[in-house]
Amino acid sequence: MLTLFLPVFLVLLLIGVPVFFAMLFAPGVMLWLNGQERDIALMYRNIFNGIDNGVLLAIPFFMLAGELMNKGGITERLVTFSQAIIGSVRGGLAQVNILSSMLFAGMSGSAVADTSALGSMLIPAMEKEGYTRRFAAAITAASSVIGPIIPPSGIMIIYAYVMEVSVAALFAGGIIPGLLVGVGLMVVTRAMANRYDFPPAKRVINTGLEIDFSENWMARIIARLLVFVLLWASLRSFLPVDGEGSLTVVGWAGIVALIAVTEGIFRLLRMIMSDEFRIVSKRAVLPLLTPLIILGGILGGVATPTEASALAVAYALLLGLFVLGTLKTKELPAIFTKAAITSSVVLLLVGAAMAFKTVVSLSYAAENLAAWILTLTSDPLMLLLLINLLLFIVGMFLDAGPAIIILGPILAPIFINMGIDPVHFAMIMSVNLTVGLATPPMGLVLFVASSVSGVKVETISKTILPFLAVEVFVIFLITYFPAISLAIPSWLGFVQDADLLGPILRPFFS
Amino acid sequence: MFGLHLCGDKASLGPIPIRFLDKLSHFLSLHCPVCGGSKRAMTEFWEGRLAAISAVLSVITRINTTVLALGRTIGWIAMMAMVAIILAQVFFRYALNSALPWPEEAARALMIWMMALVAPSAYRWGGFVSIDLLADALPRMARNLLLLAIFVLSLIVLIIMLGHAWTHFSSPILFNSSGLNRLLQDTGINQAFGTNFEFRTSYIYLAMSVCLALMIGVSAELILRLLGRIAAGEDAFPTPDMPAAMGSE
Repeated sequence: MLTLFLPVFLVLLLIGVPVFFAMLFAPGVMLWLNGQERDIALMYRNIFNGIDNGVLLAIPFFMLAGELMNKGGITERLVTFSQAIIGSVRGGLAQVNILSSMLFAGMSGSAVADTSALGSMLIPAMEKEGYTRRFAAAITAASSVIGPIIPPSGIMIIYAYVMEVSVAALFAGGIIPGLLVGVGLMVVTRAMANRYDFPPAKRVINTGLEIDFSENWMARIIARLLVFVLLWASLRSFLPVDGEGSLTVVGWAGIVALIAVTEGIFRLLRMIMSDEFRIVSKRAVLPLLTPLIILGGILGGVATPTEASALAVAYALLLGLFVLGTLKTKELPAIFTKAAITSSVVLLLVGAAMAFKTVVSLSYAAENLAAWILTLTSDPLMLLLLINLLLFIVGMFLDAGPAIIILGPILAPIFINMGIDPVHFAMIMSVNLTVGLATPPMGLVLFVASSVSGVKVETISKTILPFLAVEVFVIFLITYFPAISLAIPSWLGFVQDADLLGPILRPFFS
Repeated sequence: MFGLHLCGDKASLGPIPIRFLDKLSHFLSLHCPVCGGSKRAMTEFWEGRLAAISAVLSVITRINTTVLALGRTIGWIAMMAMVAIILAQVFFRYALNSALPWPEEAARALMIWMMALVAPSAYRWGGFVSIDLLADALPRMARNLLLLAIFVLSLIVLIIMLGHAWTHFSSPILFNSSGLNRLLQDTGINQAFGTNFEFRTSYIYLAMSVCLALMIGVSAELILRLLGRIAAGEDAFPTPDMPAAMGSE
């Protein structure tokens, strides 16, 4: 009887009841009809306790950090940097769009922020270079879904919280899938460039760029520091140490040699690179430190996701207000308010999800559903295909965050019981539903791209199809080759004893 | 009852187009109660209802506009404070090597209050996620009735939740908030001012009641505005302007 809350919920959702209210009304009514008033009180407590958790602070903070970077001129630096790197191939600006999305993804956790930030810059630029406006809008929308896949990611924080998985594990898991989507899009763009004769772009478009004194020196020092740390980390075991574990004289000499090598590398680069390229790269050093702070902090176990997100906000403020001077103090209230409003909706949804989850377990909905699904097929390959279809359809109509909140508690237990690693399943869900952001008819990112470019959603929807095809292909790779999602998490020790081979490779290796 | 002309150009209800009422009165072949002329006349009934809606709506709208603006201001300040507090936590733990007992709790309390004060703004301007395909596909009248049903359903959820939230807040078992009281102790605020203040967890519970009450206020506004539109046509009772912070994108 209580299980009926699921169809009721579905009907409410389809007629247009806001997700938040539908998630509370459907289970509430069924509990009431069942005479379980006490459990309604329990539902309320779970809403409150669900929101009352320090982990969730990361949601407003990452939104805020993304917003600050966007307003603080960091987008422009990433785009010029991408241009310098990849702009010279045929279809250059389209590739720049994809690479910028990948870089931006390391700082923001939202596809919408990515679309509006990059779209407003790159769509006019691409049009000027001879691309059609709808193609520019489509590639912006398609590549922006990388935003929530490469960490940090808003939806992964939500998933981790609601489903009790480690945020760090999910962040680590998202890296390769995100890169795969990016590379896939680049390959398709390259193929299309030959066929449709896309214009090439100049290698460095902005030649008149300048870098001020303090930023120049900071970029120099930080870039050297990063290279040095990299060298030191990889060669550390060769440096001789004495009995107490501190470096011997030879060891210290080795350190000095490493410093010299670092400086040498930069001298060499200086000789190879053109001046414009050097300035563009230097201008990107400080912004690109953000993903290092976030990921290094979280994956290295130094900072909790909440602390890392607060550091990201502080760093974005520091850059925007003091170093780059692209942000004005009087703009801050609006930026903070916007992040507050967007995240308040998400927080309420998370609360509702926790209440919903209680009723899912009270009603044995997941168990009943699992039993029913297993009557259809027990072949894991088929099941994974079915689940991807379901997720894809849901993603077409619903935003990724709410979709994860609704489906996670119902679907995840079924597949985890079948032996699929929780982190792997999280990746399947996150990537699939994120791609849903760019699928017609209700893809949020399509609407944003449409409002930024002025092209109709229907037109973008048609042009985006080849890119969607690649993304669907990547979803299948992620689904059937768990190593893609699990390699980094198990290397870092977040996931133990996972089956990295998956259903397709296993027969060949055992 | 208000001595209204309701024959289009002389309509004293302000900027309310009365297309629907026109059709209705035409159908019933009624006449304007004041000048008795034209087919565009109205019944006293409709006139009274519309005027009442208009009056109540303008009061509620004004209250909501003021209260929500205040809420957003407190909201962004709370957000700033949250960031500052977590940064302080990081600084004390890593730089000074002494973890503070209160930042996590304080930031959480601020987050809940921030959400409580800001979420009603999101609800007012359609920030709550929903699937609008059906509503967009329906003809105007059916669409409005569907929206009305959705608003009423949401209002019911809000009212029931408010009941539970209030019980939660006023339940006899009140816990002291340990972390925040340590903050009071360490800073010596009570000693300095000779007060006897202490934090209770119920101060955080209260946020939900405030949030729900504000959202019920917004619901009332949304429902009345929709009723007004059902009676007087789609352009009547425009939605108040979105705050600039929510606009771009």
